[in-house]
Amino acid sequence: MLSVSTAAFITIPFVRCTSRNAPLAKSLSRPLFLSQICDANTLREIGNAYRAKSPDEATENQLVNKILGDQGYKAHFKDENDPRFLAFLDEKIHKDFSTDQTLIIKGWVVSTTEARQCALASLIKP
Amino acid sequence: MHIDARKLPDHSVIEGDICIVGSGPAGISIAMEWDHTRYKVILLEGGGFEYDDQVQDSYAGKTTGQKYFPLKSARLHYFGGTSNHWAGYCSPFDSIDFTKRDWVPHSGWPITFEDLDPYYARAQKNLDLGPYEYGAAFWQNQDQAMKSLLPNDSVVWNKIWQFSPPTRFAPKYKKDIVNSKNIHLYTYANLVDITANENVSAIREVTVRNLAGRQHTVRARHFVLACCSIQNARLLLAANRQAPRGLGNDNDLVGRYFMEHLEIKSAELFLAQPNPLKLYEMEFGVTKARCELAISAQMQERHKILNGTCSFTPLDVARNIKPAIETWNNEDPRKSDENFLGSINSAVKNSTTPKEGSRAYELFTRIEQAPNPNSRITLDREQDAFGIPRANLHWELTNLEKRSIRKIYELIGQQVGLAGMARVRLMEYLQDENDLSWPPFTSGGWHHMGTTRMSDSSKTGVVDANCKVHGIANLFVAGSACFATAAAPNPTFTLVALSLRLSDHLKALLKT
Repeated sequence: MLSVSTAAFITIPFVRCTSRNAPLAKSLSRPLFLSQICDANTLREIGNAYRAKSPDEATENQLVNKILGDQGYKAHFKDENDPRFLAFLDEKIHKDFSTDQTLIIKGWVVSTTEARQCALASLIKP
Repeated sequence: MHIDARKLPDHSVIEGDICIVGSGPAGISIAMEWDHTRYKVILLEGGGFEYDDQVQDSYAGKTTGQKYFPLKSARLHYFGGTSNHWAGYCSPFDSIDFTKRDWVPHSGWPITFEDLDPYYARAQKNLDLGPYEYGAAFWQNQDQAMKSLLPNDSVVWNKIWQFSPPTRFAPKYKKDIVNSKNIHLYTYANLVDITANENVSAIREVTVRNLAGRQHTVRARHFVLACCSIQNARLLLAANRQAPRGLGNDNDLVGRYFMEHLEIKSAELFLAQPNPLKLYEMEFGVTKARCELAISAQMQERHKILNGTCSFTPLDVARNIKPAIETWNNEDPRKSDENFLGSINSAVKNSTTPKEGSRAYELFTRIEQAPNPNSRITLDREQDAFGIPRANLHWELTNLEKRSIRKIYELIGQQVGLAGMARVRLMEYLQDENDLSWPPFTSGGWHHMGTTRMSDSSKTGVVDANCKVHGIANLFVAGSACFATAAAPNPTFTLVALSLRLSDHLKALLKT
């Protein structure tokens, strides 16, 4: 039997609905490492270039789903303020770099996850 | 012993056991191996003990293809040779550099790294280097601040460079050579002709000349050309009285496969925190050893790329350094040197990099060029003051170099990203993988290699594994002209090691 809290976690489909995704998309649009070395304009340029290369990832929802994946991770986060959320993203980016899931965009060698985060940034604040 | 050939009676005949033509790092390294032996060594230098513009002029020539430095100023023609202005960067070639790589046309040496290893150890002394230690861990153990940017060494690794003071061979060895009883140094003895026996299977004598109008003959049991890659090829091609295509050139290989290192800014590295990158830092005259980032042999093979390395300069400094191809533009090597160093010194002087280090660095490539038969030295119709046709250089690169540089920075970007240390941004000329052009700041490293390349077969090389010219029993070539591939490191360390190996071979020959 599931506990009440667990049941609540797995029943919150927070990546599916645009209105409820807005804060999440905003959080995801700030790639932690890149944000320390690039200004907002550069992040948006990377994002625009990524979206131009990947037309099937044109909406916030598509990008959020791609970033969080379909492996059930999303079910474990209460919301974007969950401390495990940043660790998850960090690990995902690390995994990208270790498995050749990287791209050269506008000259930057970035992880695919970072590129999607930038794409979100370019959508949220074009 | 020193003899000024201008003061000898005209048409003197000089005789010895070994005749070494050229007194640069290769020639002097060989000569010194014979000091205090019973053998008479003739060491010929075309110039004197100081720079002489009239002699230097014989190095002038035309260049075509990829833009290059003026040939006259790209090497030095007096005692000590180009060591009179080299920078002292030393690192051994990697094992993979000697192997046949199916993705690098014309690659493969007839010797291995292990063949050269003991000579590298000996060359350390010639070049006033530290211990024969080229593992990063050895140096990191001596300075805990030398920290790696990498998560491991499976893809990208830290390759050590040691720094010679830099050794100037002229002041270091002049006294020993002048005082030697069996090394006979002839200055102003510029080689102008090589005479072989009737069937061109051995060299009988060489002719030297100077601008004082004196001409002399030198006879020896063995002859070693140690004049630098361009000049060695030029002299062989010009020696065409008995062999119409030039000596050692039955298969049209002399002068071909001219190689340089591409030296070019390629990317930028951005760190989250300021970092002096001490493991990679080089302060001229102070640093004994530092690393460049290199690509593992496995990755070179997987991605089918050339061997190249990456060094770091704080971005605020690098952005104020003009490209070498722009500053080294004067025919006079002294003026080019002044322009070149002036740009660097000014940038360093005006640096705003804080003590704790920079957050942004320029990534600079040194990479081998793929051996290319069309990249070559030929003879011009115009002759120099000694009557020798001038050398022309056609420097030609291939697409493999460009593709390799791009992949190298992709791999470095992945590895520093994996380490959580930094991100890399490629320069614009590398961003489009379909763009195979070279930007105007593309430079070489004044590293001339490969014009008499080494191979077991006379059909694919000019010299054999012992640096002997195929088909000519007593003619050898010393120096980087013998390199079959260029590797990433600066060539002096390897050419000295190879010269020491040749010297041992000659000793064995003379004993028999």
